[in-house]
Amino acid sequence: MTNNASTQIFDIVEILDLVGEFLSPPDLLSCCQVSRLWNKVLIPWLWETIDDSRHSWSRILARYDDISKNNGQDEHWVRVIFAKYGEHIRNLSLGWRVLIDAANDAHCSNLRSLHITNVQDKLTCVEELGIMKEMMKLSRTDNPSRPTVMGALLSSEFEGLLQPSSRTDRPRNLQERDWITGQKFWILARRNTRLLSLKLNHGLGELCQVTSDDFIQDVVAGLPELRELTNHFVAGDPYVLMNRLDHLETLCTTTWSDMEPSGASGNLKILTILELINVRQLLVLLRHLPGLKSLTVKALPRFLHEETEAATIMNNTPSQLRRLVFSGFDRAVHVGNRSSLADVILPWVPHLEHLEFFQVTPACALSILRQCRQLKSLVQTKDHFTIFAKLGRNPGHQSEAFTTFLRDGATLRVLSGPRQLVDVEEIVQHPWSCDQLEVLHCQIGGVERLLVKEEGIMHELSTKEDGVELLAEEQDVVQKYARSLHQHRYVYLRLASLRHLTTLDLSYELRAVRLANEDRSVIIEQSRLVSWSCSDHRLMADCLELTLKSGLGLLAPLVNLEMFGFLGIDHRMDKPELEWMAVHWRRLKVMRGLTDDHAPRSAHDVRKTALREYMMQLRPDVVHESIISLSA
Amino acid sequence: MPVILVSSDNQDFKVDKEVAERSILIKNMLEDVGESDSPIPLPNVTAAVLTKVIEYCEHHRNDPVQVPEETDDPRKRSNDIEEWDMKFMQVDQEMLFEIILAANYLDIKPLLDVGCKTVANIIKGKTPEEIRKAFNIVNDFTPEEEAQIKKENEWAEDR
Repeated sequence: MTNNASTQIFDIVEILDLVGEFLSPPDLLSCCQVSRLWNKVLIPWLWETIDDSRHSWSRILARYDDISKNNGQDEHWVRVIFAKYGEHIRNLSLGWRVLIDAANDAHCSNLRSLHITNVQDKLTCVEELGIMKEMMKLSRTDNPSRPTVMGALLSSEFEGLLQPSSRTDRPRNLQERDWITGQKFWILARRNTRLLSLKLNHGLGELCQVTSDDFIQDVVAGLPELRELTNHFVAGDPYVLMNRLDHLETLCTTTWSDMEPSGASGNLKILTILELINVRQLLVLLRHLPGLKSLTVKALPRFLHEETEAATIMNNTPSQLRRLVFSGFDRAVHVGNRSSLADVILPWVPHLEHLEFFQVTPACALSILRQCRQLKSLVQTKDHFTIFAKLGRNPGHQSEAFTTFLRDGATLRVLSGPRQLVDVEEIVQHPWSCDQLEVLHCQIGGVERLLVKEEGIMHELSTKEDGVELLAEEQDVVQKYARSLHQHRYVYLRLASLRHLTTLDLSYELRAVRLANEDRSVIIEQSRLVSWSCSDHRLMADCLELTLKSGLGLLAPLVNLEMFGFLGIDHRMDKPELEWMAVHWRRLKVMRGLTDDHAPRSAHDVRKTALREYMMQLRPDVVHESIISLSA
Repeated sequence: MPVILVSSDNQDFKVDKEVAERSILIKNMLEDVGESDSPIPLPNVTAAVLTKVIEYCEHHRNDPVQVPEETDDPRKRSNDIEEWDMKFMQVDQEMLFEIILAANYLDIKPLLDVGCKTVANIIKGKTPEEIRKAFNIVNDFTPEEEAQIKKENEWAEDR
């Protein structure tokens, strides 16, 4: 070996090539300017994946004017670089029309994935808006039966299968261009016969329309290696599609079939259907897709008298399904969903490991645990209402079901119900058996807390000498304090028994929190609540206190904790609590709770900011997540 | 049964067969030779480097054999280095390169990967000039050529 490896190492092309695999485009760009050799080796990595929603594509493509002005410098640049480097592209994800044209014109033919996202113009939003307004004015006064755009057919094979889209909100010259671009997209898709992945967004419909179901089936049939297909674009019977695509493993579709297919398609592993299907359709697909491991459907509509048929449809053979997700959250739909899930579907998916839903009843929860003995993860469907959004109803509406999972979910590793409110009395009364949990996300409510006034009384009492007789009011406060401590203690002990926990998120929904008034329960808006903090002497949130005084130290056994969340909790946490966490939870990486001051509609909370800064001094390695990073 | 490896500077290293076979080169050699206790010469690896490589192989002796993945999906490529490997790679650049060269020669793919990830981490965030300086590379582009490459690929900038 020479005495200087650094002069030698990058002469070995394989090693430089391997380094390229681990670099992102901005770094690859720097590397490509280093030397001729580096350029030669790393340009293919730089161009391997082109995604025009990332890096500087949008910034570059948006700064140029309307193509109709025909100064088109940028378009020229795009065409030149695609012609030069297009052969290296393996993964192409496009939304800009000009890039679709360029990729096709450069004869890119080595693609393994082709994704079309929301179709965009070179037009800026302001211009687009201006055109839209103009066109809307026109469409009101114009003849409604405006003739569709005609334009050149680029391939005779498209005859009768594709046609220009008829949009009234776009100028004619742009529509003519769209029609050409649309055809070019399909030529590109057909040329790349080794595609593994094809995603068709409905935005494609803005470019051209498909007039025959056969078209899409013929296109994908010409892609024998296709493993993954997302089709938000055209209708068509998915069973027919699968029959023609032997290797298809992942399918995402907006339409589903009512028909019963003739044969089975064994290779499909992941299926996502973005529409409502009924129980019968679901069972039929489980039966005919024996290799299916993961199924996502929007929700199940109310079932009628189908349970007796289930065994017949399933031919008495359980499915091998591991993951079942109901992605929708429509409550009306969900009412029917409960019993159809527990009574008709679950008996046929005994191998289920992951289940996601919006809400279930307690009976359904029990049924889930009894029937799915291998269940590891239960997740409440992610929805944009989750935390800190305005929603007129009380959170944690059906948390009894969630309590059931805590009590009986002995196999569970993940239990995530950010909207589920567990009543503290439930926790006091019933032990948990979910001691394998690694992730727990729920709200805990119903906790008795001293009002500020009462805290003052407690403080005075602590300075009094023993043996002094207490007033009736003082006795009440003492008893309430004891009850509160008792509740806190139980919560901490139950949580501390979950030794495997890596994520504990108790974030509490502020937006419609129940506050125990002296007279009655009131609902307070989040915006008021945040600024309210400790100032209102009559009100107290019913969430945990999270102080060492309340027994937080009992959580010391949670040594594996990596994430702790307490957004929205009026936690009374102070420096000693943070110091305690910094020492006892050495593995902590993420904290979610000291960033409320970023909450929408909320006032800047100076105290929290100071606490956060203190924690950053104690543990610079802990990241503070905000609601913004939650919704991202 | 232990295997004896001999470094380029004639030092003997006695290691378990299981550990030595983390190197595909040695594994194939042993298979070709059959049962034999003659030492295996490694003329391309010094004792200092071989010590490090053996340390790595000892630590990873029970790892499952890496199956070459068929994935073309760039999202599945991970830049993560596990904690032990990260510490292991905290060596000066000369040693880092020697380890990479040895891993390449001995055909130890996981070690080669970790080495290349470490190099990628050194490159991260650097300008072309900083990269040249870090690795002692001569710029053989004209300023115009360099500017053209930048212009053609300005889409890749993150800002």
